[in-house]
Amino acid sequence: MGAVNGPVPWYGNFLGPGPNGNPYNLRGYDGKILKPIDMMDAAAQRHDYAYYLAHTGGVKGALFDDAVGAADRALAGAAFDVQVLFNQHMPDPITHQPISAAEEIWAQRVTIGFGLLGGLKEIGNLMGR
Amino acid sequence: MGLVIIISCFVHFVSGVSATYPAIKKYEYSGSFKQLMSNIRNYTSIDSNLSVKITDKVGTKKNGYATYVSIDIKGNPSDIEYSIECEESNSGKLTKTTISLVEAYDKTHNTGGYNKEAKGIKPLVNNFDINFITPLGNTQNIKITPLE
Repeated sequence: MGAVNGPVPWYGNFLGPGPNGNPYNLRGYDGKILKPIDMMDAAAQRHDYAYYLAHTGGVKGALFDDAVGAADRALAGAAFDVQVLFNQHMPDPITHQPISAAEEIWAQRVTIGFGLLGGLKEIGNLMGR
Repeated sequence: MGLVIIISCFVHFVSGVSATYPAIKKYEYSGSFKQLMSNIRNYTSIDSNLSVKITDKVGTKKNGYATYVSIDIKGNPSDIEYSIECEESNSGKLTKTTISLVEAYDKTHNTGGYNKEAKGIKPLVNNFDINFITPLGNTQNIKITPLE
């Protein structure tokens, strides 16, 4: 999983530390362009792209860059949608399979972590930080 | 104590999801990005095995800007794809451009990748130095210095 010759992300191809580059152009282990494995992973790819475009990342980007707060909230929202589909026994729109337990657990973590982070950044934006 | 652990876990999680690998190798060019690209284009125009393309321009006023450039070296026995991130900075009258090698990938043998520990990365970095950075400097009469 993940970009060619690792390290392996925490989940799927995009959730976790990844290469410095456009996430829509990264190569996987088979040399082909990396694709998200499911809905949660696709949300992580969009989140990576927003950070890439803003030229930010890591602790500085996650905690102090209010400009990517919308991307954090979008990631939390997409993760929440994964949980809704899981609870309704609806299929993942990318895999067309039932949402796996692993996907749902990561969706829970992301909803909490990035929901809180996005909220804090919204407050930062409102205060003109 | 419990609160400290919760905050540490939160910071680790959100920063980890947002983190990127460090550059494979960094260089410094004493000049602007525009001058660097002009030199690269002059150099690649005389070698049909080399092709260069600006792939993305990213950044904000607060975070600074960076330009990603893809360099393809067609050769025997391998076709190699490199990607560099170029960041221009100014201090007083001095302009410099930091070049970060963020990808070195052998398309023929499926080796290399995006980080220093990737399988087969070292020969690809040496190849970049010997077959791109050094001749670029020599033919264009410019100095590109490795930073680490």
